[in-house]
Amino acid sequence: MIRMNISIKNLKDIVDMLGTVVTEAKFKIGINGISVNAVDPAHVAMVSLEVPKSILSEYDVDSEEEISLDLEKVKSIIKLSSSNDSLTITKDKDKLKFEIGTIIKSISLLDNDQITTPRVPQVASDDYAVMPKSEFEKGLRAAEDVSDAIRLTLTADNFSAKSTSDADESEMILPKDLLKELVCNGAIKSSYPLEYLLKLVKSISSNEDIKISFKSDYPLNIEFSLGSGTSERIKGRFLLAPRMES
Amino acid sequence: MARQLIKIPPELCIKCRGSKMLCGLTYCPVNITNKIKKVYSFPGNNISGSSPPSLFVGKYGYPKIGVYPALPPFKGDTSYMEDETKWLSMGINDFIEARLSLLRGKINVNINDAKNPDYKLQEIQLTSLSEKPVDIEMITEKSFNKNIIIDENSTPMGPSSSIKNIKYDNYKIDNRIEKVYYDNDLKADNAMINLYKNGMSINNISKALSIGSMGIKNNRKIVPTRWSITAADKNISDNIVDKIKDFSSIDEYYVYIRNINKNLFIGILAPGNWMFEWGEAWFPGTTWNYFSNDYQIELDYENYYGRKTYPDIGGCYYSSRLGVTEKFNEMKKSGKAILWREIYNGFNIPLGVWYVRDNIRELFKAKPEKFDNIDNALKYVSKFTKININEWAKKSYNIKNIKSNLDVFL
Repeated sequence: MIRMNISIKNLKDIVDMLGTVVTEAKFKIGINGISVNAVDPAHVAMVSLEVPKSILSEYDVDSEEEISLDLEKVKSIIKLSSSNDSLTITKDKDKLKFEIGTIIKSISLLDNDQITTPRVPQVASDDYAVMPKSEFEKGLRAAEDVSDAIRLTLTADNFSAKSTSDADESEMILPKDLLKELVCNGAIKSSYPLEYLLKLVKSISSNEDIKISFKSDYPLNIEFSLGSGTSERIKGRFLLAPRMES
Repeated sequence: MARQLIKIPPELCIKCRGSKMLCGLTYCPVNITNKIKKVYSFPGNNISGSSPPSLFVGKYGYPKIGVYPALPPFKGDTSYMEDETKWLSMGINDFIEARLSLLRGKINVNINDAKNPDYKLQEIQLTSLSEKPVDIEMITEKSFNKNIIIDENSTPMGPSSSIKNIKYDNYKIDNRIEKVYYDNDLKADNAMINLYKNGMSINNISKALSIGSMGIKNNRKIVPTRWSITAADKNISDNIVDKIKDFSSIDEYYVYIRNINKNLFIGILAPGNWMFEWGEAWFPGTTWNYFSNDYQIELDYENYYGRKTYPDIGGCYYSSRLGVTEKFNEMKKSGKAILWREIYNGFNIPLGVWYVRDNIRELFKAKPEKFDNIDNALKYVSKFTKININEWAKKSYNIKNIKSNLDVFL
């Protein structure tokens, strides 16, 4: 059996974040919380979320189970509620029942076999920078009308993001003192598709910090937190394939 | 014309007589030459015929240019001559014959005359937009010049002469165009999209645009035919691109193949955000590759955010883009589009960009082969291409892009 109570803020953050890469997703409902991995159809970007049990005011799950959902349907339920609400979710055979105040809505679950389970690449890098999401976003916005790719560079002194086209150029440089943390053992640089990053940052609250790590010509790994919560938060990870220019 | 450019063993023609295409060309040069001769030797300067209706706008002397209403020297239902949906199935021979029989009468205009057209120009505007053929009596200053239009960016047309006098019989203006014509506040871009949504063909939309029949009254201009065709293809496909960006992506690789008239059209639709490329490989002896011994590949592309410059490859870029955006729109899906074309020896006459547009449309009417990764899709394509698939992949921008994915790091 599955029964839980989740705040609208948390549910909305989860659905919006997954929505940056997919329209349907498969959730693993575990004893200690929920996890989900989703990769976009081109296999360029992947979102992984861990929702700890502690942020749910009620969480009653006897055994681990997978459920697949059409995110658009969940979004339409979220639209029925206000941001301070919370809702109770119960699994009832092949349906998922949502109760918000006076409203009860059931949506049918998707066939788990129809939703592919993404294979998660094992990527790790020792070099990283932690920065306010809002700073990173500024650099992306500046690049938006220049190119569809952005080149990230990390050195021992700064983090920079640069886009060039035949005509124009855009660069953001964040010196060490504007970064919350910086670990870099040698300069690294790699290019990434801009449109995915823009979608990602839109789905992270503006007062959050993000941790960016990568290597040269290697996937970008962005770690962030979502939703409300004091001690524990929803942990998110975004992987993005590098743009090979040659 | 034909004799200078093509060397055909003479014994072939006797066996073939224009029916078997033994020479390997996609049309019969003897038939076409005879047809052209007939048009060249069109007696006198007095023609009576049914205009489909047809119109050409030249670009020489811009902004003082020639506007040419056109008609074949006979009466009847000639609408097929301007109906692009019929051209592919007509066969290249019949198509060229029909189009070259359109005799053009010229009047001189300034492009700005469209803001306030005089009676003569207005009559050309209205008759050229008639929904049915219009009977025309035309007397020209001289007999017709040998200046036929055979051009990559316009549709073929017959020779021309300056108009001395022209009389139109009854015409009925297409009511879709009529609305646009009398709307002095509707921008030309929006007018084109309205007409397209109302089912009007690109050929007719571009014709209406070229004769200055749409747009905000004080901005109206007469536009050379070749520019008006590309403007219509570009503007309408831009509009569809904006729309399909909101659709979810396909999740497999679709491959479409069309082999026709010494042309191989290849369409690969791939998962991901909108992106487009159009590549052409002209083999030696084809229209745009007379002089080298090897094939020449030309390729242009755009990323998710579009292009900022005009593609070197020309108007066919936007014609092919229209074809593929229509497909995505019909599927209510988005994705990356790779369109390649190989043109083999035997195809050596420019027919206009409609040939690309409508072949791409036909290409996407077929059922695709589906694959779960790009490598398998390319392996399938390699069965059809004469050019090594790695050669295409090396030239391609989108293939590199598609291969930049997380699977590489698994």
